[in-house]
Amino acid sequence: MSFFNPVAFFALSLSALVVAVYFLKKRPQPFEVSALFLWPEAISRSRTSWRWYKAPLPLLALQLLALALLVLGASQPAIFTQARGAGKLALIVDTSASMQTRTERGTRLEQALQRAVALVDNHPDAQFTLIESRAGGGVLVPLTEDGAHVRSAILGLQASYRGDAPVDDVVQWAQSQGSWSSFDRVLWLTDRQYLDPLLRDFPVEFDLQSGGLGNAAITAFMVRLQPDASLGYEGFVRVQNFSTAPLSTTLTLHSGARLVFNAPLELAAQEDASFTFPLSQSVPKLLTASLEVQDAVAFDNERHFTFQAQVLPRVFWWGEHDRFLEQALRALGVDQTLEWSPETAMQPSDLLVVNGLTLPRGFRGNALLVNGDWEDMIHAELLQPVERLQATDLSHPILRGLTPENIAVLQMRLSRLDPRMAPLLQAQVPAVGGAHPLMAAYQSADTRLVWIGFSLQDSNLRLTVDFPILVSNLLRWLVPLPLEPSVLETGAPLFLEKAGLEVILPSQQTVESQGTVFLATEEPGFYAVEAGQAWALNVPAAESRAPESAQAAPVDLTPRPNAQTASTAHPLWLYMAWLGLLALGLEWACYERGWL
Amino acid sequence: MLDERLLQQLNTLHFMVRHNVIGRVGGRHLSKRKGLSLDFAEHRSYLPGDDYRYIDWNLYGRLDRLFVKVFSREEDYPVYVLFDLSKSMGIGNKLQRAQELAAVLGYVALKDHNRFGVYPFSQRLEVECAWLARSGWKHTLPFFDYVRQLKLAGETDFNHALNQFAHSGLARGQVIILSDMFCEAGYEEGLVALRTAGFAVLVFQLMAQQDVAPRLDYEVWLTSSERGPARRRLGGPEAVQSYLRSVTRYCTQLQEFCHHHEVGHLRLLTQLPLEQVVLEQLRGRVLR
Repeated sequence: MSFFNPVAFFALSLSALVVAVYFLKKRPQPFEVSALFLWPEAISRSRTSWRWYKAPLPLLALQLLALALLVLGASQPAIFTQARGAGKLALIVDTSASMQTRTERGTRLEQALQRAVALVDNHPDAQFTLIESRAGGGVLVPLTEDGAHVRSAILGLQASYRGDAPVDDVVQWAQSQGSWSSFDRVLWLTDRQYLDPLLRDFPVEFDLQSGGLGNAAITAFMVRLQPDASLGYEGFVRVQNFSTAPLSTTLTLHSGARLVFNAPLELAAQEDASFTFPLSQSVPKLLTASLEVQDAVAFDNERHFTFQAQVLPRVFWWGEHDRFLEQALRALGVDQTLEWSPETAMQPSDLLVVNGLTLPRGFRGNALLVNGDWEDMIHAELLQPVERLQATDLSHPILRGLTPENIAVLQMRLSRLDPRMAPLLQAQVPAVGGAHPLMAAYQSADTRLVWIGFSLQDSNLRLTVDFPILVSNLLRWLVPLPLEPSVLETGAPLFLEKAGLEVILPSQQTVESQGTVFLATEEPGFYAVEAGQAWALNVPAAESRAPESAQAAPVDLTPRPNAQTASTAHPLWLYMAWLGLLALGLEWACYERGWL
Repeated sequence: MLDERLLQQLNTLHFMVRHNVIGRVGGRHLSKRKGLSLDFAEHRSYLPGDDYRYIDWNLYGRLDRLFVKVFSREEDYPVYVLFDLSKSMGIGNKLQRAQELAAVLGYVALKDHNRFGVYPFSQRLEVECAWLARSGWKHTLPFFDYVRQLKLAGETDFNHALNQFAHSGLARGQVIILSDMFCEAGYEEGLVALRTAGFAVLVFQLMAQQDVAPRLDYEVWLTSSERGPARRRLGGPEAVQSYLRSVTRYCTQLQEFCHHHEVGHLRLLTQLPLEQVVLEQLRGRVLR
């Protein structure tokens, strides 16, 4: 027997205090009476007096025994036993997503489980610990000699959609069952050859599971703002062919049942390709990129993407209200407009609509100036009739999707632009019969402004189908809110706005969240709550890159003749503590019941 | 067991007989039953069938009426001691005092040629170890030996034991109960049974110092002498005061019950000297 904390034995000096207290405390003695029934039941106990008193020694013996046992427990005693037969084995089974890869002999995990069971069967007298190696894994079976239990635990393992476990995590899990040197063998059944330098200090036998029926995977999918943010969003997809055969398939991008993009795809063996394609201004919230292919791994033929819920700008209004324009803004999600004055404070994400007034010179922010002036910058002098709007740059974001010829203007304002503004002009729409601008877009570091040089009442713009398109273009150009992607890996926690929200799983099942953190995120796909939050969860891309045919020499699973018998420490402190408490309880019972 | 001085004093004492004595002929106590003896008792009118020899002819000559002479009958006086052998008698020196009193009573009874018997009891009447009633001086020393060897056993069940004795068919006489009379089940039924059977009953309630003034100035485990395992933990003057109220009430009830049923009751404290008890408490109540 060894003691890991021998300092605790100093606490035995407390026994002197116990003895002193014991003999100083007077204890009740039996008092025989002729008739117990003459003594009233409800008599309060008198206080025990303190004096030198010779009490029954068994109680003192019990107290000292309890103290001794508790001190012994605190000293952390342990006995060491020699493991029988083949010593201690740590069995690490990789259950990451790549182990789902189908081979000619079943999945890689099925192969691994067969090997693990064979190892257990070959070592009937060994001690085993079973560790599940994946992100969020751990020790499944602590060190035990119960081979049947280990065997059933192995057969209960299933491949997850999680990524691989970090090597240092796996080492830590194994060491929780004993020092690394105490293991005779550490066998890691996985499909990945780990080359982490940490493993030089912790030798591991890798039993590599390999093979596959060919795999093509989408290893990246995202939607992002184009480098020129005014041009809107673009999608980015990377497809990799990990198989040794050429791949001919179709890449599709869809939002629910709506097809957003598709393209044929030809990839040579071990080749990869990236696709970038522009998306319209109205990007769907939930997007899935998929490959139409039958291969060894199904989970990486689809990847999902979503944005966080978009925040709409606050819209302020200055000047005469225009019902048509306000309704068009409402159709885009702007519920109401707020009154503005030059003293009103604005956020960078706000939009000011000025109708028929002169915008102050020092204005900074986002503004739509309709039939008005901008002090010292834009000044309209006189009215002049024109016939049709003519675009000089149809590719400009605010004119995207418009047909300018449909718009007729009865009266326009003859504008004189400040020379400081002229070089910054990005779009001019001259009126028919003259070279004067009808629309102008101004952009500086802290200001975005679109000027419309005519009253909406003096044109047929509000009555054309182009009007809502123009308003949508204006809103998105003036307040370009970048969309934040909401993409996580499987198994990641989802942080909800409040507890008790119902989360819609990829399988369309609904689960009520108990707290503000939702953890049941094992499957890839979209997770959403009714409040509008949504997350796209994908299997880590590294799981698709598992080698297809890196067949290594199989590990010998038979017992080694020179297997060392390892000594195992069995801690006894818990038993000592229980016995000590039992002795205390017995002493208390004897004292209370007067057994001694 | 009894010292010489006390024995000499006992030689002068006799049992007081207050009731009709229905004993065997040949005793030293006059019976109210009329019979044959030398002591003239009274005259009564002659009835047909009376023996002519007892007609007082002198009276006939003076009164011209026939009278017969009636003589008193001398009978013995049975004394039965019911000896409580329950374990509560072991508290203090109650057993020893009961043995001494039994010896005193036996000595007085036997020297007067009264039939004297001792019937121990606890839960029941221990007939098999009883000193069956007998008379005569010669039984004195064996009786002392018998009293010495009495041992305590069991709980008290007065009602059962006294009922057994009341229906034993023994001749009516004086029954003296030597006991502390502590019985949770009660004593009333047994005493009434004795009285109903015609016995004159006298209760010697023996009380030890622990019974009348227990000292509990510290915490104790209270245990019953008869029931053993039942224990309670208490102590202090509050407990003692409460007990004294309780025991006083119990003894008062016993006394009132005895008085109501014409049962003699004597509370004897065991710490008093035996001679004092005999001469001051028994003489005039039991002995004369």
